[in-house]
Amino acid sequence: MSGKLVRGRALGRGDRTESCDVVVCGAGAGGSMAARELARAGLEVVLLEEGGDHGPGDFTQREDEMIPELFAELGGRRTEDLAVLVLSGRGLGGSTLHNTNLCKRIAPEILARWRDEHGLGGLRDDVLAPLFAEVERALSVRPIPDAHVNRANAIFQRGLEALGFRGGRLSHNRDARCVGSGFCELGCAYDAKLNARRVLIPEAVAAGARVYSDARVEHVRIERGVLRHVRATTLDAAGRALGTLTIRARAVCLAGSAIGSAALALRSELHDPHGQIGRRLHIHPGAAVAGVFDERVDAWRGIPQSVECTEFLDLRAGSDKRVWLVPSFAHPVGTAAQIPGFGPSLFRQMRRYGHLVALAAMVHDETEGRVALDGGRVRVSYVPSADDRAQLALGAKGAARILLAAGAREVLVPAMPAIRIRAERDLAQITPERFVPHDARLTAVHPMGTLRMGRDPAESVVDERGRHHFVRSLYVVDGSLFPTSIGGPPQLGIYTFAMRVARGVVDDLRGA
Amino acid sequence: MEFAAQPASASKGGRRRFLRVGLVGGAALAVGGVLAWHTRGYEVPAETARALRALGPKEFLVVRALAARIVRPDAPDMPSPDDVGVAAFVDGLVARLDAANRSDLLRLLHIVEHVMPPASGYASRFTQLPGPAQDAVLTSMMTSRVPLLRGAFEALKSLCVMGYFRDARSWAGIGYDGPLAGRPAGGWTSAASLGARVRTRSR
Repeated sequence: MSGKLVRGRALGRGDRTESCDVVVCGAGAGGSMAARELARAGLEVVLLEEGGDHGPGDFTQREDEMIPELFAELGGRRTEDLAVLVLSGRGLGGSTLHNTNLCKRIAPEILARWRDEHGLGGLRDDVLAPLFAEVERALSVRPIPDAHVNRANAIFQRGLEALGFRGGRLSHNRDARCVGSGFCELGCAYDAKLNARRVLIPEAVAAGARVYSDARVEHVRIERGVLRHVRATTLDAAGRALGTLTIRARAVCLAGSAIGSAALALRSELHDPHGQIGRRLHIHPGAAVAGVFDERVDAWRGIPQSVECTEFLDLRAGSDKRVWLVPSFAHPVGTAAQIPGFGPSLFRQMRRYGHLVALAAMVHDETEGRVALDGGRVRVSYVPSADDRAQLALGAKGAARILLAAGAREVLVPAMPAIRIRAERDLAQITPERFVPHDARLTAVHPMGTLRMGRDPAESVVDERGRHHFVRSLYVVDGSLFPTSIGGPPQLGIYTFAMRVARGVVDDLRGA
Repeated sequence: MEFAAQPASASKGGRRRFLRVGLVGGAALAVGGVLAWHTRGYEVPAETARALRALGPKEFLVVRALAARIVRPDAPDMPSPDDVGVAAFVDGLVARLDAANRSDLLRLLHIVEHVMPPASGYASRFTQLPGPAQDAVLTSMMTSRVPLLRGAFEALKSLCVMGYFRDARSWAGIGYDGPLAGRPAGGWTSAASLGARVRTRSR
């Protein structure tokens, strides 16, 4: 069977029905990897994606054009209390279109916790290490070279070294096409990202997968434990419904992100006797801290993130250091939205735009949020716990120290009212109380959990192979699987677990 | 400031409840004669009205008034929000929102127009207040003890800053040189050239 990539918007009006072995719902890191693995194993695969198909020529490097295109809910999705901006991707390639290509394996401490606390005994280091390595080879993961460390990251490193803080160079999946434009979060106009769209989807199509963009999955129909069909609405360029696409399949893989997959499972009224679907959402809530330097930085140029600080990150269970620090710079719209205040005071801060270095303090969170449906709307509830607010404060304080050590004239913590730090003695202003919802600007880019793995069906949704506890033809292949937060960039873990689950699907269908 | 039209319990409820209660509160005030619930006085040029995709003339004027204060520059070297068409941009963005989120946003604009001014001690609707009074209303939202009001302010601010700083005319004043696409790459400085020592220790 020959593969193809079809823009749903090109299908025109009308209803269509197709059949295949496995339908994959969502074409981000997990869905693309699963589709590739399943197709390479000789199964007939249909991959459905709500967002569009974007090529390098579509990435205009303009925030107003790319943010609404590449992020769910036009980039404006917030928690129910409006306190946390939660960003997740859309489009063929999902979040790998806009992420900054950071690749880290899930830490052994996290996997140990999953084994010990969630009954996932098969997730041994010796089992997963070869899979991580295989994904790293497939995506050409390598350390970011010196030549691609930009001025903001060099300043960050200068601060780390001055304080003797633990940290180092990050790894990524870009190739020589990278020109260091710095517009990674708006899609790569140079096609330098070795991401799901560039690597995995073409490989899936070459292996026979049928890939549809602009196809929003509405529901998965399960009757008496048997998968009947998956129904999608095809969309035009403006997101208006054109027709339906009904896929009859032997198995279905959910891959719409921790928010999208949970919402689809809820819309589909999947068997959920213990009310687990949508629960235990983790998001790595992050607070930005900005240093103002006398020197000109122009932090928007060059690879945005190439150095990390792990001084405040101990991933062992019960740790009181759960913060990962990385540079976090935004283009003008994103920066202006973070700066407290409005009117002339906002502009006075923006005048210093070229002199800012921003760091993100991202928390390996213990807070458990929830995805639910409210009529036709997806409701994301998440209020950081007191412990996680203390971690945000710890991270913000650490970031401020690093920036001061690197030579910042002033450090700003976007909060209401703003916190201004000019010397170490001012750090006492940064307290957990300043990180209550709405007082601090919180952003999250790593939704995880909601359909988590576990041995106990009363406490989880799928088993350690990603297979639903009750609906045996349904699998999860995205970050929804993760039983806990992982404390680092999730894409490598998602790719790896999707590969692992997909190979299990192949075994199951062949044995069926 | 207190959000007079909103009972404290609303702050503990969800976004929908907040919007519903806010509007009901506003209507109650109107019935009580404290606030005239104006439905007239929202005329825009016919050409503008025809171009609107999601907002009505009333909502368009509320957004325009919000933008005039939220992205009011500090000096004349920057364009005004009207120069760069912030309200028209927001209209286009709202047109792309799904129905539920669009409905939420439209309700929020009505709350800003009719409920927030009396809650801040002003008898006029937002669009008819003088600039400093509008700033006071916005400050009351931004610093409100009602968390959802603070969140609502940030959401409105996000729309306005996107509408403003998307425009190339706003970039020179902040030293931003815009998209690189179509221009030669380069201009950024590597760590090596800065003499930074490279460490590979990680985790």
